[in-house]
Amino acid sequence: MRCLMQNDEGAGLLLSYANNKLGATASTFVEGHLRICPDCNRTVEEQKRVWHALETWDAGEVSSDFDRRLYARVDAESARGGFARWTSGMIARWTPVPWRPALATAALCATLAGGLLIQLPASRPMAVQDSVAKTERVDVEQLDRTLQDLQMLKELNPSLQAEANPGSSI
Amino acid sequence: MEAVASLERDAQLMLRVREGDTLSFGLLLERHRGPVVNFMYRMVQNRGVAEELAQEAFLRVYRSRTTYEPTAKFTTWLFRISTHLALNWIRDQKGEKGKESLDDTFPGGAARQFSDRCPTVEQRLVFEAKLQEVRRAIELLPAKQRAAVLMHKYEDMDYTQIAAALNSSESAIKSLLFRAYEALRARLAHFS
Repeated sequence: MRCLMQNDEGAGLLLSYANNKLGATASTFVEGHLRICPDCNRTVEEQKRVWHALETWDAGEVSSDFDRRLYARVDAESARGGFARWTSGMIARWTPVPWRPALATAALCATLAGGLLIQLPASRPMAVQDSVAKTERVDVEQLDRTLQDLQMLKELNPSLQAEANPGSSI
Repeated sequence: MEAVASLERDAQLMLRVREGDTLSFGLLLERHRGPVVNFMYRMVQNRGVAEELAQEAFLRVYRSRTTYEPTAKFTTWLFRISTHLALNWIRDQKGEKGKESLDDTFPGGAARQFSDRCPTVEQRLVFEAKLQEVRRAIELLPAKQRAAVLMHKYEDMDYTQIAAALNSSESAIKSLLFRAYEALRARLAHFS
């Protein structure tokens, strides 16, 4: 019999067996192999020790003010970003996924340029203009990140379908 | 069956968040706050940074609420965002000293908890030494291997979920995990 460690599937089986995450049928198969393969046997024993050692590490408690700090950030963002949210929603709804970051940036740059031409008098101090530009830049970055996160969610869709396929999981 | 129920529950909560129900966001936070913070902590080994990164992950979920569609398991998506943030932080910090001492206490100055109710000084020292070795062994793993091991061991995620979170194939994740555990076996083999 070929050693299980020589391919990804077999290695996955060994790990799952050592970590007690394998079903009865697959466990019987692995146990049959372990009886004739000293290398895999030793790996399983060492893996059990590693698994046990990792249990030593208790990550502890989350800070009691974690939620308060998060909600403060959410509130601050809500107060600041009405326009950015609206733009994000419209772009996400009406444009193909690969174009979204570029379109988001272009739309906000155009808005910013238009707004500056119409609203700002020529004599407005440079510091104020910088401040406006900085705010808009933050919004563009935030918009890009949000779109990336949504893209991640969309990319996960095929893997979810694979998850539903009983043959693909252990 | 439990996993399916969990998927439905999280997705339903997120859909309610999309409709403007902030209480549902609170419930999602309650369910996933601990796992995300702990994952971040074990990734970056600094409590303050871990909580900041976890906050950013939840903030990103909140920002994405208006266009959320339940096309994937919520936890997989959440850990994909979290992993992305952690890997970026590790990449940015390479070469810098951003880690707290392994001897640091937890926030609030509380001492670490031990499994024995009244450990002797010797037991405590042995435990600390073991813990330090485990943390060091994890820290020495390449960042992607570290993320895979932490999701596999501490978050009880299967190969499919880890593959989705790390944007890899299931086969590649099995291979990645085997190599990661191989390194850990070499470093922690003396543990009894």
